[in-house]
Amino acid sequence: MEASNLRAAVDAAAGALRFLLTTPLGLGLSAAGLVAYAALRLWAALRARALACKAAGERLGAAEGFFIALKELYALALGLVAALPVVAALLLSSLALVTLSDGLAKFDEARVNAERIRELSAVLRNLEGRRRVMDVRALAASGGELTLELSYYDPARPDRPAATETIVIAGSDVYFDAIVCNFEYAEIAQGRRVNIAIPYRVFSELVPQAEGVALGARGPDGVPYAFGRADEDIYGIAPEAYRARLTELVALMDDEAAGRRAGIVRSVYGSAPHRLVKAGDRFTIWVEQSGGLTIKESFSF
Amino acid sequence: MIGAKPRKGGRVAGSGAAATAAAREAGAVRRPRRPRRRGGVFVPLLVLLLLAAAAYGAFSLVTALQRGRIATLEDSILALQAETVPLRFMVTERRDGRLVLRYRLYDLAGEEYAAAELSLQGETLYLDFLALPRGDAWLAFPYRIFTERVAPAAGAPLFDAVMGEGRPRSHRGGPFGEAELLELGRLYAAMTAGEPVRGAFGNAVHDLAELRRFELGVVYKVVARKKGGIEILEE
Repeated sequence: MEASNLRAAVDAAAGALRFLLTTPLGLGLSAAGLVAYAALRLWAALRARALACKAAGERLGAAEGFFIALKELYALALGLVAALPVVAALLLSSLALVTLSDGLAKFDEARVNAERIRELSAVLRNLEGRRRVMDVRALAASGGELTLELSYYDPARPDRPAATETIVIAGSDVYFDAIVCNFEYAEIAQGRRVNIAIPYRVFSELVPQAEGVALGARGPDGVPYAFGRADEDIYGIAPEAYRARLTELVALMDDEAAGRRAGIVRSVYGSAPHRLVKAGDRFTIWVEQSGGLTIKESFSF
Repeated sequence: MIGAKPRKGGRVAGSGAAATAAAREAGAVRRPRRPRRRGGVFVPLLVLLLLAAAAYGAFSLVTALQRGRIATLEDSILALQAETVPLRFMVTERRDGRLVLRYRLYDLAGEEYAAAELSLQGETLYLDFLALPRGDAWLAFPYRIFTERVAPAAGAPLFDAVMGEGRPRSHRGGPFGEAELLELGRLYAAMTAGEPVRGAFGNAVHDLAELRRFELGVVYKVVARKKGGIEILEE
């Protein structure tokens, strides 16, 4: 017998026992069975005696019938007492069977729960994740102007900057403007996509956005330069696939309505995280996978 | 001497084990009764029952712990997706390089506490917020409104609309008591005054001239996330 068949047989037997011994209907049926057995035995004994009386030309009296019934019931009770060890063994076996079945059910539940925990942990990890968009380092501050070194990151290779540039901007509260594409939570949770941000301009509390410093543009294929790679610099994915995926992402950003209709994109908008900057400051701009951009300090000296 | 017939009287010729076996075969010698094992079938049944009960108990404990872990994970996931809406707005007009918008400010319970209409030079609308770390979450305070043509410092400040008696009305209707609201008010005032507040930063969200403008007459909401991110979603 295969394990699954054995398991099914154990569960079926345990289910039947649980029904017979714990539910009102099952208990009623069990009691009815015992009563029917006793009634059959009484009937058989009375009938045998009645036939004997008939053969002898007599008639079975009510009193005699009553005593025969009492005797039969007494014999039944004695039989039950004699069979008590067997009955106890049967009850013990039933209990063991039901406990075994419940234990196996709990084991199955534990296995399913473990799988669910693995899935939820992955979802939480994906949603809690964040991607480095840009490192900012304030090189100098003089005459009301800040000199900033900006290092851009490619989501595919977060371990080192994809490009670095230095800019000068007037003011002290610096805004780092970027296009943000937040994908639907289902996409993020399953790890199919990551929210992306493309920084494109820096301005400050004194410099309007339109007069700020442009940070880059897209290439002829529509892919931001920050995401551009030479073939030899692309690891772990075919260069064609890498560019195709980037183009697809940019297309999604360009046609937000289509992306939203397809249930892929949640929002495309601009976001300019900002903070007061002084010489020596270093901090990082992140795109949170739960949505939006944040600034978290690297360290200050 | 197997097969030898016993003589009358039951005695078998021969000696030793063979004779006894022959006698037993003939029914003359009764086989000695095996001593009854103590417990019989009950001991293995009890052992089986105890093992099954132990397994059931262990797996019940494991599944109870797992259920707790699952609930925690689900709560964390829901918290990450939870949204607070501090501001709703609608661009009502765009003409001659100016835009007109109507905005409403909301507290944590979703009650509106301020509303106004504003006209600004420019085409791209920036809604600026300050994010303050508090425990394991970030709180968003409305800061100012400006456009791509208006420098942030010259934009429309929202501080007076938000603050009331030293407490930010944006964070009423939530878990904060009076003392905490006063503390938040102090931090909010410090941030707007340009004083450094550890971990705080600002975030101005806006539409994109190149991709998609805010449509006239459409209500948008600004959504603050637990981890500090701020989004704009169509209502």
